[in-house]
Amino acid sequence: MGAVCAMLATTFAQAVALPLLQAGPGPAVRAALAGLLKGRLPEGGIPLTVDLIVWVLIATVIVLVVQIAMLYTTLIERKLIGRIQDRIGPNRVGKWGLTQPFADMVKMLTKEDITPTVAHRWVYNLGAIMVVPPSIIVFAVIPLGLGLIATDLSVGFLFFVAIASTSVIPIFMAGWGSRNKYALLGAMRAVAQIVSYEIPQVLSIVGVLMLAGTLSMQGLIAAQGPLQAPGYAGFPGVWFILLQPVAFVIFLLASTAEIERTPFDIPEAESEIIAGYHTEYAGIKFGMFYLALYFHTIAAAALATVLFLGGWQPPIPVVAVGPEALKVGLAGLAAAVPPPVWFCAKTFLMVVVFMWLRGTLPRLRVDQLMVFAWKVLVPLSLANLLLTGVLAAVARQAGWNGLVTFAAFAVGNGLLLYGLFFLVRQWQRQSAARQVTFDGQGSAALAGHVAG
Amino acid sequence: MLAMILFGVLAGVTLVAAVGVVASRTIFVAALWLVLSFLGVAGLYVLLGAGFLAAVQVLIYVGAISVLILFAVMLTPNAMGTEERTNRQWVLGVTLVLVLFGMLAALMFSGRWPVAASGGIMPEAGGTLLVASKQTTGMTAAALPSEDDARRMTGVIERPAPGGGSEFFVPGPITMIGRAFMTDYLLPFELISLILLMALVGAVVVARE
Repeated sequence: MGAVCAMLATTFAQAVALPLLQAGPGPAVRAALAGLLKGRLPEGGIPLTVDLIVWVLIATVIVLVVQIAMLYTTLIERKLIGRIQDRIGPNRVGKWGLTQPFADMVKMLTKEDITPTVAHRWVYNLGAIMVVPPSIIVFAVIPLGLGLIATDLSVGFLFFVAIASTSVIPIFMAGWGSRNKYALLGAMRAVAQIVSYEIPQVLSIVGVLMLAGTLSMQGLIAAQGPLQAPGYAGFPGVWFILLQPVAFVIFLLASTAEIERTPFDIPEAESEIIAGYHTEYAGIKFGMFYLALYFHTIAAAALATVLFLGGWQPPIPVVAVGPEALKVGLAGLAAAVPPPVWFCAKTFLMVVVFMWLRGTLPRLRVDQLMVFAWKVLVPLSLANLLLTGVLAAVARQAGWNGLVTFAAFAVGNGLLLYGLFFLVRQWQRQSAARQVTFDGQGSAALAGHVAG
Repeated sequence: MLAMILFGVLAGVTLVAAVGVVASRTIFVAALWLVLSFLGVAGLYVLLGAGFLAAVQVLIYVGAISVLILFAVMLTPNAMGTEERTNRQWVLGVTLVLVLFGMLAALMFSGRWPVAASGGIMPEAGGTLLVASKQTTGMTAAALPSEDDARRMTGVIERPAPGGGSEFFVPGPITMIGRAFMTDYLLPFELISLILLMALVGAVVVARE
């Protein structure tokens, strides 16, 4: 009950705060600001100043909203994991524990700020500071509705991936700057994992990009709904999760590894390497890593929503046939709820899926992790890419309608899954015949190398 | 004005970081300076309106190449060490850099640099109509080329206009790059794709052994 309330509260907070974003680029706000500044600044400087103020406002709104969402995501996670483990979860601070995140924040801020004496002071401290920006800059291209986007870059998706890929540098800085072998080992594991899983993650999305024919985030959403951009050459009105189910699963798994959540939280496996690259961080500096983890989680969920779940569009099908009353009713239902609410609801659904995975699955071993990325996800995503390319080209040439296209993609994805299970079974039999067992030698060798 | 200030800041960051790469005595810190230098170059690309190039710069140079360098540093025996290294060949290095700088500077001042068809402003995502609608380009009517000039420009596509006659269209940067890959540079593009795919498959095969 508490978890549901917290979720509703967060969704509501976002739905109320986010229209402010629209006010940011809005001409009315600009005109008001220009009027305010008139006579106080030289005439030529006013448009520039207005632009700067508007952009700072937008950035502030994004940071605040994502931060509030992050605070309550931690509470929801603790509540949900508690329920999964047959506990109650935090319920002492405020009604249903609703002010628990603020208590946690105060605790983090008042803890002693420790810097190890042997640490490289600059790299150690900069690592903790730089870990947050990449995880929050990506929200600049997350659209919450038509026009509700900080900047709809023509290379929006590429921007997201590029910024997200820089998040490994602070991890390196933390691991190396701490001058602690567990921290160094944790950083190396984290980077090896993130770099490996980036490949299937991006390859799985290339299929979606091929169907949509654009890299713009709003374009990707438009390609999944009745509102299509002029010049769109894809398939109308279908969420990409229906055309690309295998890609969605690959993306979900690779994203879980990307953001280092259980079952892929090997970089901070506490039974093996204490707390990985943030072993030596305390107080608010540890808080920064915690913050970045949740920002990454929300960003990955939002990206999944944009790419596969139709973004901010209502999950109500547009009926081409049927009685007029039904059409009007469905359209009214879709219009009654504002787009940011749909977007936040879908994003939270994805965040809950990440939490559910964490509550259900045990952690993988480091060698199993790499095997899974390179031997299963990469070949599968390449096969999916080939299938999508061929089907999209054939559908366009032969002029298939929506239903035939959908059926072809369903059959193709089924074949992919059958091929995957066939290959994995064969591979398991071969392994058994060769008596190959995984005894964690890979990680032991790595540890020896670093220590030596 | 703002562009000049931004250019100064970005160029300054890039240059200071580049000096940091060669001046710092800890190899890990040198690699971190290199990351900052790459980011400064990406910022310069953004300033020039080449968003795609900037994103690719960050993705490849910061997200992949720098990570590879840092990873290689971590695999060295002295990964944890504070051992500082000095370079006895710095005189030779400075001489080579000065020669290279002189060559580049001479090239910069001697060459005639082409100006993009859109008048130096890279068009937005959907592309820009060059002649048919004068408002979309943000240029004054006098600055717009005539139809004959537009036909001679590179990268301009002529297509039938909705109201009859023809209009001239400057596609967005991604469209232009994609078109170039699939027409003029098809063979190099396919060869590089094949090499990268082989590397990826090779990695899987090595992992399976």
